[in-house]
Amino acid sequence: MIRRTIDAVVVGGGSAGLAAALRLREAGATVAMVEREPFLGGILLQCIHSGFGLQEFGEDLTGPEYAERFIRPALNAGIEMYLDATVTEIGEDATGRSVTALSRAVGVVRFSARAVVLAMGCRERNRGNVAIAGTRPAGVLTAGLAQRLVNIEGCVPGKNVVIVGSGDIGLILARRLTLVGCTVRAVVEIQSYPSGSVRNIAQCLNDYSIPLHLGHVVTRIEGRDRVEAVRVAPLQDGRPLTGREFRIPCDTVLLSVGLIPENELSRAAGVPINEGTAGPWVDADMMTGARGIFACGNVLHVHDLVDFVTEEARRCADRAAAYLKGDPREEMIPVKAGANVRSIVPNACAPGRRNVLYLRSLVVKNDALLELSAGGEKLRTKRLAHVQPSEMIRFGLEAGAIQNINSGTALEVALR
Amino acid sequence: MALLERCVDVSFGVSKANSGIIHAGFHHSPSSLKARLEIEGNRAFDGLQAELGFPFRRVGIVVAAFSVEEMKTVDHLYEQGVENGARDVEIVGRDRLLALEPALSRDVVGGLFAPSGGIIEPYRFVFALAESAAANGVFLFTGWEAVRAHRQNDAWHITSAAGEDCAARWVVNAAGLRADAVSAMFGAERFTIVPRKGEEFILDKGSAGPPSRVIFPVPARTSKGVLVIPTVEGTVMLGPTADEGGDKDDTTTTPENLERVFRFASQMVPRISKRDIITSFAGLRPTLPGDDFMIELSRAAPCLVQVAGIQSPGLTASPAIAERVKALLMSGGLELVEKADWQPGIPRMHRTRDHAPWELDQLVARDPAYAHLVCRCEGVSEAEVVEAIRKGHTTLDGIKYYTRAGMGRCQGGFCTYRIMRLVARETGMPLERITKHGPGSELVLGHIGDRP
Amino acid sequence: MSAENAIRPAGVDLVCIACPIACRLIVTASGGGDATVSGNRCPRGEAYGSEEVRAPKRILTAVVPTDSAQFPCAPVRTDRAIRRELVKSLLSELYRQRVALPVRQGQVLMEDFDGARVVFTRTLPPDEIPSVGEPRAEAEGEDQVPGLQEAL
Repeated sequence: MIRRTIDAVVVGGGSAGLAAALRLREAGATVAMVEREPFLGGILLQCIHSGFGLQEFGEDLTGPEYAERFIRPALNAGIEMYLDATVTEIGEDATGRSVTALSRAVGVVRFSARAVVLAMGCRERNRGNVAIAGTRPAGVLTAGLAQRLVNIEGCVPGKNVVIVGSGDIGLILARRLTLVGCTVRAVVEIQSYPSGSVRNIAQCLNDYSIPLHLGHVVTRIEGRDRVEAVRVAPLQDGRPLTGREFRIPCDTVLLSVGLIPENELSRAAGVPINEGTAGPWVDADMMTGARGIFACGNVLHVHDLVDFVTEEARRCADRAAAYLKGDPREEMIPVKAGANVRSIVPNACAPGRRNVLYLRSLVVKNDALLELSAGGEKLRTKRLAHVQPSEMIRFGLEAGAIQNINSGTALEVALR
Repeated sequence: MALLERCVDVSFGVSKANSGIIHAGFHHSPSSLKARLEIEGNRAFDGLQAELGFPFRRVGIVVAAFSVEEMKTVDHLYEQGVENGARDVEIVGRDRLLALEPALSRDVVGGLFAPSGGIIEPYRFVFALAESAAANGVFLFTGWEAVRAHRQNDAWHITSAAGEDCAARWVVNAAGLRADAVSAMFGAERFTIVPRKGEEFILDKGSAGPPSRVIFPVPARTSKGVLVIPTVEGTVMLGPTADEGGDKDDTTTTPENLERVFRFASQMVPRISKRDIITSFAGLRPTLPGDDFMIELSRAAPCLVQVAGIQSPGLTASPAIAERVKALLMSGGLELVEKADWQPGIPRMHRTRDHAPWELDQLVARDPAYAHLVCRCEGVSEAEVVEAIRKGHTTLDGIKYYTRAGMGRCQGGFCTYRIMRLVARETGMPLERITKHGPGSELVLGHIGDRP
Repeated sequence: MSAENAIRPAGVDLVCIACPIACRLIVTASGGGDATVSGNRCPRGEAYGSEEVRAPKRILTAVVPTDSAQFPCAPVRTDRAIRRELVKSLLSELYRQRVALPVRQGQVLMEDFDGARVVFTRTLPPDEIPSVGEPRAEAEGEDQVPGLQEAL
């Protein structure tokens, strides 16, 4: 077993990990990065479509282009890189945190680190998570796996495809598969509205005349060896109307039914998890409930835009660097999700600085009112043209905006 | 001796969907054959595990009763167990039951405790048996579907769907769901195997309130009821249901049964949550009228042993079934002499996840692939996957059952392409020929740039 | 809303795809074959709207097969939008390729397709990782790397 002593270990070399590691190096910290794949860039590398970087760079980049904007500097930043390596355990030792990783190249390595940045991203919800009935043939896979097979391995997963879920991943995949010669028979969405952006409905489905069945569910998968068909039924009051069920012959079913922050490692390290996001509870320093462990990106909460992952990772790294320097920590005000808010990040604000909050709505609503209050007293409000659960709401809170909240009182964020 | 298997790998039939319980011998009437074989089989597992190293633990079984009425059935189970010869079964009151199994609902009134019950990974057990058999001279033919048989010159000649032939003096019909068809093929007894479907749901490792023992309800007429089973690898299994009338390929799961299983299971263990479901599957029990095993020399055809209707507790009874088949073969006139060089033990498989980091160095020094994790959810290394492939398990399901790669919470989302690449590297097969469970279940259907 | 009526003929009511804001555009014909666009929040919306009703254009991203087993395909893009009706013919040209690695991001695969260049979007194989700390060489034992701890 190799032992290394280092300021910070960044777990994950995707968009969050790269931005955080670069920022930590800029602040003078020694950094080790552990990445599972044999190359850096994470999930961006399989997102070959454009639409990334409009906020960050003012350009319309593809996923690999966005990733290389960070990979190139990261290679020359003096980051200790462990690729094709998996962190198996985060524990405690005399210096702070111990991180154990395995890789073919170095065997077992154990870091003694004073800070750990969790940037492992998320995984896809799968068939079991959404309990789709029927047989278990080949040809049922998650959208991300299909995207990987097409865009990295160069394989065509099927010929006739039904996509379950109309989030942006599902829509982009519908177009992508059409372009490699598949026929996308339908996109089936359980909600009565599409989860993805109208822009993607237009350029991914409408451009190719792909049918979208809103308010429908796949009730059954058929086929013994390979998928032969799915049965689809409209929903009424949350139950499928079996009388109006219809059958779509297909050989492939792709599931784009949501993402879950991947926190098994965090949980095992004793990091408290926030029910609303399924990611760690974090304060305004992006520090989790476990001292010295920070989190950013999709492991913390699932983002819609990589640009905001980058922004969040930098802020996380800045605070981790301050922690490493021993800066005094500010007294924080807890933040809680109020009416119609499913989740909020971070879970505490620092009144002396600017705070950026990210939240998700529980409801679909036009002309909503974002309302901040403390102890029943309204602090400020903001009009939002449209809110829906699949779109993250981001807003900044200037330094001093919440200065006068009594200690012990929480800042409550609600949507009306 | 030759083992003929229709599927492309062993354990792909009834065994793969087994609940993985080593039963304790109190569920069946002393008059049944299965009760006797269950007890004998149960006792054999410690020795078998020592030889074969499959995952198995005697965690004990509890039966939870929720009413005085149900306690009457528990009394009956207890008496049955004692008469069958089940070891150390006891009737327990509410407090002792809750101490034995703290995950149980506070509403229990009492129940039964059978410490000799246990949990096992069924496919690992089957693979280990197949390896031990092969190491001792058994020829294994997978993907070999018997379609015809005739007797000539004191031997059976069996023909496969692909036209291959196999000749043998004696034949054992252990064809599970198709034992009836195989019996007919040999012109032997006419009977019908009725598939009884059982749907099961798997909860992730680290789910809320996993039990430490196998929890049974007080049994219903056709089955032992919906159980909550802590699997030997740390997940929780809920099920099975028991539905008759489907066909022999019907392994579909239904939302209604999911609801039913959850309703029953959460009555016993209230803390389980649907959010922890990572997968579901269905298995088919091969049942005969009367629900007992049929293990006998055929009276209608020469030199044929029938092993049919092996449903629950078939896995538990399997070592005793084997002994019985051996005795039948000898009584039928087959001369069997124990081999002098018989070596039942098989080499232990190393698993990265079983070693503490400081213990791994030696393993990694031998093969660095032990430090390369392929399946993150189950902690399976490249070395383990490669070992499975080199032993002939080249389908995704075969590798999954052999190593657990792809069996965890992401259900292959992250490791499928890695495993496909390893299969391609080790076998030279192109990616589009790699299957989930045999021909027809190819995983990808072409390449970008292929001519249409 | 069913799928069928979700598909609208281009020409009247459009969703701008120039950026994620996705403005709802109304495009009406004005004299001389020109179009008037309203609902847009920026000039790109106007350009998109008037172009969309005459000759819709799209950025195309795709992968091309390579000669490498390790990296069997390389992602590419057009550096500007091409006519949508030409997407198919560009794809069939791309799929005929057998690109020899290495390639660098930004390297040009095709100089001119309908006025656009087709460029690689990923460097393949990825650049080598410079070794930092040489963890193999030092093997056992504690190691101190200068860093923030010194700054304390």
